[in-house]
Amino acid sequence: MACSIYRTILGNSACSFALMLASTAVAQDGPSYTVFGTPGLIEMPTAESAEASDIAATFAYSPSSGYRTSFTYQLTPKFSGSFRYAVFNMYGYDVANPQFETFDRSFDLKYRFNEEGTYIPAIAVGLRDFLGTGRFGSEYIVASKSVGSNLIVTGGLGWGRMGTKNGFANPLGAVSDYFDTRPVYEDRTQQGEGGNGGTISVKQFFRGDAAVFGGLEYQISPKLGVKAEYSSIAYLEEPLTPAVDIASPLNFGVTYRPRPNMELNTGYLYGSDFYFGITTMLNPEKRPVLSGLDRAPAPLKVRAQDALAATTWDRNNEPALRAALAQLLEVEGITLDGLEVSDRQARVRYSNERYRSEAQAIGRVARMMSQVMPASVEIFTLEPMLRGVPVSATTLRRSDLEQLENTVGAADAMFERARFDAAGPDAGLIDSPAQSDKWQWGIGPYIALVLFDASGPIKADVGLQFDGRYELNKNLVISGSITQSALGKRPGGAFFDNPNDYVNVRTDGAYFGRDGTPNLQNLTLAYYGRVTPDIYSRVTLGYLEWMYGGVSAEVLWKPVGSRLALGAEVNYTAMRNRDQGFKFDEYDYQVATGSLSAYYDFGKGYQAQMDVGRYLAGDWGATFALDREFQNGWRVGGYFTLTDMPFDQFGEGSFDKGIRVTIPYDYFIGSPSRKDVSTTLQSLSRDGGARLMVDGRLYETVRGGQVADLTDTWGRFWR
Amino acid sequence: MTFAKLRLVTVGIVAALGLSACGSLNEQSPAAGISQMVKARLAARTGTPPPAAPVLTREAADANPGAFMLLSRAGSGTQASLVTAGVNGTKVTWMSADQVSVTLENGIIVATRGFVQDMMAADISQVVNALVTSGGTAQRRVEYLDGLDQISTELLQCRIASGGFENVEALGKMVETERFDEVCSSDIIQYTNIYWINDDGVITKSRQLVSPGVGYVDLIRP
Repeated sequence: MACSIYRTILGNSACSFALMLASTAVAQDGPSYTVFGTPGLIEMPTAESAEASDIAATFAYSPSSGYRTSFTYQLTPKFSGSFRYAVFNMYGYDVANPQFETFDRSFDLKYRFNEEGTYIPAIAVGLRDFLGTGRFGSEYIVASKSVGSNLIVTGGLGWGRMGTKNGFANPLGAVSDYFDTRPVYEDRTQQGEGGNGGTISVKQFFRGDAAVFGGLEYQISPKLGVKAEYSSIAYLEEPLTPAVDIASPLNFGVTYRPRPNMELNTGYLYGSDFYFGITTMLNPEKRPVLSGLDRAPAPLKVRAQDALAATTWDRNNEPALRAALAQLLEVEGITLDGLEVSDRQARVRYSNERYRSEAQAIGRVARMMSQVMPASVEIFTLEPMLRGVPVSATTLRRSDLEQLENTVGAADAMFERARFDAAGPDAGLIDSPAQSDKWQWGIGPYIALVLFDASGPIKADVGLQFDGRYELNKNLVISGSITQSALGKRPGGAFFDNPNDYVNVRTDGAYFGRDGTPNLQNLTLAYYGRVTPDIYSRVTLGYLEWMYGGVSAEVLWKPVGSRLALGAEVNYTAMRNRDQGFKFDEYDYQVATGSLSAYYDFGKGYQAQMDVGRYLAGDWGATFALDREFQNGWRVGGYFTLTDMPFDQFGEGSFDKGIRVTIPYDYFIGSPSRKDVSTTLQSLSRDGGARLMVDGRLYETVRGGQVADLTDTWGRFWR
Repeated sequence: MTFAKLRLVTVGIVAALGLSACGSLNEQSPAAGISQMVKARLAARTGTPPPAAPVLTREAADANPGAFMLLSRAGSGTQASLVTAGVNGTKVTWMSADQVSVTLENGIIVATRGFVQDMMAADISQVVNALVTSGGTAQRRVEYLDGLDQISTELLQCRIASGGFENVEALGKMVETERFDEVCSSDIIQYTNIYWINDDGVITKSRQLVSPGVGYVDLIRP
């Protein structure tokens, strides 16, 4: 991939150069993938790991095992997790009868103990489908060893479903007879039969019969490989587990990598089936556009030696100075909001509309200041505003900028010499007349995935989206969004029944916005402010989100250099009508929700959040979230919510949990952008632990301009 | 308008907009960025030349001695003319009309901006010393900006040697120069910069590596 992108932007010379750099790598870039979307053979795992931070998405199909879409994230060099969504019919029932189609979500974990040595194989332990209904529930220990540079030999021991082909008495029985028999997974029953899935089947782990599996992978060329395995999954008929009539435990496959980040798989399964799979890999750490496509900044304007002696300047020039700076900042997509200049110091307040990295914006503003500030001004203080609120103050010495520009180590040195404080008072700043338009709008296509509506488990909705935004003043903004689907009027209704004693606060979402008319997604009046230098506030009023309207208020304590932040939010909302118009009379459901939140930045890219409070269905509980954040704006995280809604009331999945991913636009497009796209893979969106989706919560707003986030992207200061 | 019609119109508009989106709120949309990238890709594939930049003429260069620098991707014909945008001590930043900049110290690149993988800074003092003494060894410390927005530092061992006298063309004028090759290597990369230095000790022409991701550029002082 790198090669082709370099070719377009930089010419062929770079391509050959990139190849030269890659020559140290092994025959193929990382391990190949199974039909379960994990590194391994065909159905069976190996001890191999993908490169750290790799995210692999695999789509696989075979007639017997149906469709599987899997995501595997290599969390650390040794530890990986997978989420899988499968549609299949493997009960030996009449295949033509869609009643028996199963929609199955599953999770895997794998840990590799060691790097492969000269004589010692890499060894890994893993759990397949350990959460949820556990239809493929297996545990394994596996060892893989390369022989020469092209062959990898794998052997392993499996339990659970992986212990069903030629299984034998569990060797762990020698440790304790606890391991001899595997209890029936009580939770593996369908909705309405007493179980809801979603709980961890710890009671089963490594118990019952074990069986041996193994295989070979041979890399013919860097792009082409073959593999063969002996599978220890017999696919016997058991209660609510997939069954296949296996003709042979030997499976064979061919892998082909047309590009380093794409793998095509095909082969022969069970002695009866052909399978097909495609895997695409993405690594947040490897931005395709490397440092990005931002245009060069204006270089620093260095003061002449004889001008350095000046200690004052002619204040009559102040208005002209302000106008000139505003114009220069506009070039950078930055709005000047306020300016205070004394003989030796200048303080500017600005809103950066262009750069994801506020550190980069600071660097650019500082260089623009150097173009116009009188020579006597030595101290620059920069206060970025986010949603109209100043969130920090970075103080730089102009002579440091002059001394360090374009020198090795300049980024680190500048960071050390900079001072970070809470933003100063409004007093003293002379407001700059608004540069940008108070009224902004946008029209564009949208595409949304609709999950589990009456017509099927997954469907795409496309249409047009109209956005508008009007700034009453810096702190007070009206904004709204209307969509018109191209699909027209569609029947509403959920794929599943949702029998519970609570209002269907989210599960009725499948009835919303289906009548083919324009849908008002949101229309709000939002106020952002600063109560004290470290406490921020927000009030949002109106049609807050697609299902609820009302009022939402929040306060956040977040000192500029603190790893800890604390917040409180209260909302009073009513459920909107299904046509997503202006009315609230269809459900007549009002609810007060809210939470106390704690946020903690562990450093090294780990960010935790805990919310305790009341959720939309009136249930009380807490949400725990942990995100891995990359300095370039990528985030991969997970969360779960436990509330006082009983599991059997919650329904399938038992409680709300999910994986979420945020990708910054500039990762793909290269040119600077503040925007990102987020998606949450929920096991199922249901009524328990449901939270109001209000735009622009304070923590995510404020932190972008504070010390931790500035540190992350400080490498862009001089860019 | 009935909603059925509205739906038809919506379908039409979605199709017409294709990937694009418009309005001040959509300026940074990925759709716009992707369409730009696709256009660039198609242009590269069909060999369509990029929009022509104002061409620097010999007359203009003669009328403003020292005011211009020509930059091109190594081996490519398209040249951009650069002018001085800033001076900080011995370092001069040259900028093109489309905002790509190259900072030179004694004619050697010490920083770039606006490339897809920028050289953030370089310490080349030993290289200059070796050139002054007509050859020798030098250590070079170079910083790049990586895909995680972090500065990565590369320490390179370089050997500088004369390649004899060569006449080079600089915007229609032949200049007598001595050629110097600088071969630099570290654990992971190896590359060769070439400098053609005239009688006055000025680098008239050079081929220098910006970064592994960008490759070489040619610089000419007309």
